[in-house]
Amino acid sequence: MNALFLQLLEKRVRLESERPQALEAMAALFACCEPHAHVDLTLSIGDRADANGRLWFDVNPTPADAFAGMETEKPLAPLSLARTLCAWAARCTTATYVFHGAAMALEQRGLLVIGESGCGKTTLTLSLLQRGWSFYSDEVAALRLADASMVPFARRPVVRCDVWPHKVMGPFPDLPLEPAPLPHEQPAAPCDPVRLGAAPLQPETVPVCLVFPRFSAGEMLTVQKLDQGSALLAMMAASCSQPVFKVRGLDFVIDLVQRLPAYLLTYGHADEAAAELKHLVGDVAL
Amino acid sequence: MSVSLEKPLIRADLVFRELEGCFVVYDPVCDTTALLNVQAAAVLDYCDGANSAADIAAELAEVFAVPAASLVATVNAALADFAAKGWLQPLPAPPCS
Repeated sequence: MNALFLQLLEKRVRLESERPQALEAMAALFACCEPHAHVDLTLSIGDRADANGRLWFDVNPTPADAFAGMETEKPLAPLSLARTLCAWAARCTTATYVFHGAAMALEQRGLLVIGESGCGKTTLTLSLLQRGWSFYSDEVAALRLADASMVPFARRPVVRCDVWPHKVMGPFPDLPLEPAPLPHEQPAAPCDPVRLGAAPLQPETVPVCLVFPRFSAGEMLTVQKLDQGSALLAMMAASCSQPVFKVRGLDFVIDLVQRLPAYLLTYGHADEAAAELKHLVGDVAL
Repeated sequence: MSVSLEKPLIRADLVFRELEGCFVVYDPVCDTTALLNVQAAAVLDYCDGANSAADIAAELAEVFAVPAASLVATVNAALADFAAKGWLQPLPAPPCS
């Protein structure tokens, strides 16, 4: 595990339960944090492993006084806390660039699906996982600045009740036909990507394609190639970070949009979009 | 201290990069990214606190091989836009005598 991360973990982050496996999962996210970054959190970490032995963590809210230095008046919902942690990690790191987006790969050809909440990232993610893509994230796409390789975000895809997989793509063998009822205040639930069909992660996978989705139910599929300027503006807008981080990473983002094709994907059916994405990613010459 | 459009000066913290025939401007204060065409980027590039609008128009006229007089209004409009975006900074005060 990264030495800096250990230092950060021991000195800056107080864990409710120090489970080595969970810490490794956390390390996947915070591996590049600088030791001087200050945070005082109490985290409750679940270290349940999936069918392939891969570990995942769930970040649970704790009382407000545990979040010293963070602007929270009440305990954060898990998803909000995860985003807060991602933004914090992005501010701390000097080695990764973080976007608000999904990241997946097909046979080491990475795909970044970038956009705001509600644009269809999770719907696409679920559809691609069912087709055997590897899962890196459905919410936070992190790339190493050194080689642009994709960093897996050790949080399971969060699926909204209204887009529960069997409603979108048909029943899954390992999932109940009817999901367990969720409390009204918890409109989403984490799912094991392996059970959803995800393939194992491959090391040194780099993105070969950028996609900015727009979901509109029932709409016909259209794919529009984006110019580099439009892609750059969209990626800067989706960057989960502070301005100083964007300044530092601007050259990295410019290099990405110069090297990778970018598309605006409007879709109304996830299966059509998934088939198109397979073509887009497969057509890129490595 | 007001921003001078007589001798415009680009803010030191503004990030200015080239990208495929246009130029990227990132403003870390407002956290906004903008794209400029070559002409607008050239105007911004000449905002060094030494050139006047007329100087910039003359420089661009030479680069783009057009009469300087035809560019003055365009340069002034670009400078006003840059000032409105907060991309220009006040000139440093002259040294005390």
